[in-house]
Amino acid sequence: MKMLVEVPQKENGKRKVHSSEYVTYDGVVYNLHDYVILYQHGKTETYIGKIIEIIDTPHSGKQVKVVWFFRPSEIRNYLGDYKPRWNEIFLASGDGQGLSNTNLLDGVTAKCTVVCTSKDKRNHLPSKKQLRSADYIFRCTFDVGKLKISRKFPNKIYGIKVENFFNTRTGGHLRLMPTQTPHLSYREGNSKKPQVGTATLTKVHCLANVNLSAMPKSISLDGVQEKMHSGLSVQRAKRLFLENFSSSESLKLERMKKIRFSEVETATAHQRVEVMLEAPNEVSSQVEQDQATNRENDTERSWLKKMITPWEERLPEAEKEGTLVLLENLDPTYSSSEIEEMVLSVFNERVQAKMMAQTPFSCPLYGKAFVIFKSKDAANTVICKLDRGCLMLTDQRPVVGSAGILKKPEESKLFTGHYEIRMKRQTEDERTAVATAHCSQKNTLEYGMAMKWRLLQEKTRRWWKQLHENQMKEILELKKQLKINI
Amino acid sequence: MASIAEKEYDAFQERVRRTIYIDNLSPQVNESVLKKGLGQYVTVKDVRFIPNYSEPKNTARCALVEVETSEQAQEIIKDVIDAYPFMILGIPRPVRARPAEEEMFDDRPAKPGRRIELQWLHPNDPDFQVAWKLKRLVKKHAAEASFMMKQQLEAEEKLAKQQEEMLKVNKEKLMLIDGVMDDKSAFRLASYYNVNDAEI
Repeated sequence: MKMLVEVPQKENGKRKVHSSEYVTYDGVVYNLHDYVILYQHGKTETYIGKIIEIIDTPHSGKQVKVVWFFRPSEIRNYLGDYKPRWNEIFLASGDGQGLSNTNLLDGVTAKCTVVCTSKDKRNHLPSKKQLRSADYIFRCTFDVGKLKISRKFPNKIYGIKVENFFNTRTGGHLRLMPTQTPHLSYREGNSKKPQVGTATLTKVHCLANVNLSAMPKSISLDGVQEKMHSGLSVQRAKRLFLENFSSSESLKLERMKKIRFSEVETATAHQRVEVMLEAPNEVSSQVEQDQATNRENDTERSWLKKMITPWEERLPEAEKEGTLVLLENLDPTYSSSEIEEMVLSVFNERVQAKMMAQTPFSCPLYGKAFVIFKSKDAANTVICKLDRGCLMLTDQRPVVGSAGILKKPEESKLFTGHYEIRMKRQTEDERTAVATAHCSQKNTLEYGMAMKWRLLQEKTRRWWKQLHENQMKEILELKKQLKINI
Repeated sequence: MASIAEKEYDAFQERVRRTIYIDNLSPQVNESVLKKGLGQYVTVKDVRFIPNYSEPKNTARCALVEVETSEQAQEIIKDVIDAYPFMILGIPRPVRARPAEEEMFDDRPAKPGRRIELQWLHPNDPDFQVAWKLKRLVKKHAAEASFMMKQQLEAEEKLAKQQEEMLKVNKEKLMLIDGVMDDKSAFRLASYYNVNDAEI
């Protein structure tokens, strides 16, 4: 079990600790000031930190002290109106829990590249190449004491000069070499360790939990409610919900469809949408009729045209235009028309949907569907909504939406497992005999080889079965925690 | 109205019973090959390939083959494909077959009378956290599945290479024997060692 166990810092004199400049773990060399990814088993997200010290203790082995970076999701209640970029993280600063920890090497999983894009004078802005190749960027700090983000960088973070956190002028990696001056200033910070060491560093299992329980303005569920009550967010949420469930347009269509929804009265009310599907065939033909009688824009006409082209052509086109969305975690017995209905009722978007066929390789509990939207914006909005919220289906599954990506098939080379045998004197008959479909007889070489393939096929079948069983167990375990019963 | 849907669904189910799912097919196999190949045993009515959107590369293709009656479908699975290694358009990788299931048809009609209820969870709801975890689990499982797929492909390729090597060795051996027989050197050696002709 990997645990980000906090090691209590004793006074420097009582314990012999050696500081190193690098440590090797799992075949990877981690240097001081490297950015690393730490992972704790069972958690959903990894943590990013910057190694500020490598300690070699006589009893507990090597440990790394890191200053944390926060992901936007961890501090989403304190972001306010700030919209972070997709790979943006926040450097911890200030005083308090969550700034830094000392961790065992078990939790370290990999290195990553982080660049600072702040316009602070002390920071060297990264080149375009560095920006592109960086895993994460940061330009703000998050003060763990004041729970605020700020574009201003203080002079010292955790007693270390902030220049250590900015980019250096080195061309490639942003790893500070021990011989450079920043390292010397780090040494100063080192001497301040006893002062820092007296800060309360308790056992931390999960950084998010620290934020949750310890801090006064916690990101607990209560905290969310508080935030929701604070006016601004409620209105935003209201607008979102109303956009989703506007019934005016759909009621115009002549269908046997009832959409009931209750407005957000209290912060604890659920939104419910019940869709009764009667006679889906008739519905789909009605849909086509209605679409035909709608105002004839070019978009409508091209939409109709798209319904005629076969799916093999529609999918790559949609992917190029950015209108392709992949919905996962559906009930595999749903049909394409049901998906279209569902999307229409929830998001009020007319789409074309296609359920993907189940193969022995797909887990029997999961169904997937490709959905083509009318516009890229519509597709993106829906993906965002599905991501941020949880849309639950009948049997307690949240729908997962993501941008649809098609994999391109490779150039056809010879199929694995089929051979070309060219013997010198092979008659025409013999050659065609190989090519036609046939059952192999027991006394041929072919039979032996075929049996080996059979063996492999059976093995792989069992692999998949085992994997699916494990996955089902995991799903059921989680579902037990669900309290709602739809 | 409801009955139309039900009728269509019933017809669909009947079709499913008559269809077999066959995979480990080479990408070069097309409809006519399948029809002819399986046509030796049963009457094939329709062949539909399952398009491969999520797994890339040259993986085995799969198809749904609709035959005349459901008995034929069962027969061909039991007596032909399971009993002997059946090969289509290339040796020696045999194909596999099993009875089709409803979910394998991507153009299936909806189950009549089914209600889908949808609900947006409020972030305040404790179930929201669980649902988040479920969503993450979905993605994790997808990653696991694609990893497993990769493993499987690698294992298949390994086996193929092994067999190719073995084939080559065998072929060389046979060619050697052929060559020796051709230029009568075998017989010469036989007379030298006083070995009977028949025993060569």
